Amino acid sequence: MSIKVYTQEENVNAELHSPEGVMVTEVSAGDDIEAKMHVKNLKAWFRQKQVLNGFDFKVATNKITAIIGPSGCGKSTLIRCMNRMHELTPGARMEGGVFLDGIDIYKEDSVEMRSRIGMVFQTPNPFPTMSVVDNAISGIKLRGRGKSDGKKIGKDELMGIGEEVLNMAGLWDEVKDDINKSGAALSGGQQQRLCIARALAVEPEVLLMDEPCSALDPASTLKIEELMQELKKDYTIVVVTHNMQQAARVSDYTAFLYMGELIEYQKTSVIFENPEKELTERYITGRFG
Amino acid sequence: MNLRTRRAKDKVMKSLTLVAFLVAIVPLFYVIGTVISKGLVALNWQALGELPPLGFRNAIIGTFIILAVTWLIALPVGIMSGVYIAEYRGIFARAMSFLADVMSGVPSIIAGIVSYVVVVATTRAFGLAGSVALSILMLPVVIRSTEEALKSVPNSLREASTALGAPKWRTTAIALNTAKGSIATGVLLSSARVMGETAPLIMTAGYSQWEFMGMDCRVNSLAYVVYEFLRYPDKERIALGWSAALILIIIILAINIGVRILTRRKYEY
Repeated sequence: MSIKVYTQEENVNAELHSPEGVMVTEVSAGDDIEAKMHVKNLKAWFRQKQVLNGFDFKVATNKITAIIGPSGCGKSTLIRCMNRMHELTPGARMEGGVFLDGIDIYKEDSVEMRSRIGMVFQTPNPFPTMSVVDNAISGIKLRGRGKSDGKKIGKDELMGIGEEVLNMAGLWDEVKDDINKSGAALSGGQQQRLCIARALAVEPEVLLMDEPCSALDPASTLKIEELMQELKKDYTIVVVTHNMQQAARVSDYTAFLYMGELIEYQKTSVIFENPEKELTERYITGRFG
Repeated sequence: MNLRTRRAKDKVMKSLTLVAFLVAIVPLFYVIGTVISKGLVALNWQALGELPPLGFRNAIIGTFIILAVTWLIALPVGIMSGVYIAEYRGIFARAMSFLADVMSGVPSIIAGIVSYVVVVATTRAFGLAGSVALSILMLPVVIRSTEEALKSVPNSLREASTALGAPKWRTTAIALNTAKGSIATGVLLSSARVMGETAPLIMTAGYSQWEFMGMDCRVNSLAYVVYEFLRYPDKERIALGWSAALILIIIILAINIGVRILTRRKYEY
């Protein structure tokens, strides 16, 4: 089976590098958008292997941007570079810049930057030693309960925040009787929404989601997608997804990555109805990947 | 090969493994049986409540005091070393992990001699020296079990914490909290192990027939009472030694069963 997939990728690869192929690094789309985050000439490596080949990428404010592409194309690496998680992986390094509101996040304190750029992971990862509500407010506690002005948040206020974010994640009504149970006792979909609530509690500006629904059933997926629509009023969302229908359903902009290159970056409606590049079309219509 | 011979061979192999198992557990039950039958002879409230030569009260207390001081030394050092090895990987951490492995091979009598030279010869603190000797034996186990427990904490939890904007040390605290069950298991099992050690105590905590008077004096312990009393020619003393052995075995068994219960509860909600 793996051989078959490999052959297909080889075909595409051959086309990529053929004279009439679509070897692209400069992508025009995205110049007109109001950028919350700006990725500039980003290159990333795992040891010797280069996974991102250097491209620019703008994330629109209060919009949902989907990143799609076949396995190993660098979408997770891209998103992990955007809140400095990539640098924690042993053997990983990167070049280029990632800007949040014009600030280079790699020149600022990583802890501060990560609290402004929240992340939700592929597999739900609530803290098993904490209750549901403690999970929800864990981010605040982990940062020393401090507000930015240095004032401590009281216990009642913490509980209030816990309820608020669980509500935002659409989880409060389901778990209000079990908020003192372990976070790991919830169902997978509930755990993932708990993780979203947890990320929201630290009041980030951007929410990065790395395949947030790939471990969930369709009903839970739908709930998360509805939640994303709610959240984009207040947050800028970037979502990596394997699922093209999901990208088409939820996102405003879609970026197609292939082998470390940004092949095409367009409004979602354009990329799914009338893609500019042939490679994009072939991927979207399921002919490889 | 037809079905019948295959089944016959299967049966033979199965019986062989069963026989081997029985051979293995006979000595185990023989040891426990001997200690129980000989230990019960002199086991009464006097044995538990009096000082030597009538009983070994100070040895029961002393065993726990020595263990408590051993914990004070070995747990902070051991757990923090384990954290360093597991959370701040690198060449130095790998070397430390290797050293812990080497250290776990140190014979207990040598731990006693070293402790004698380092502690007793300089400060004459016999009781403390006993705890230091046991710490030397306990440290590698605590280091390695902390390391292994932390390594079994899924990295996704560390990532979750880091992505929430937690500083490194708080992320480590989360990992440690998640791993605390396995670490406690390691600590308790190694405690049960060192409680029964006699050789490291010969030149250190040694034997005392008095109440506990401080870690600078000799501190009596159950293991040492067994060693001491069974060398006497009188029957009463020997019987009392067996009783001390029985109490020691009961305590160690209780710790082991406690660990079983502790680790089982971990998977319930």
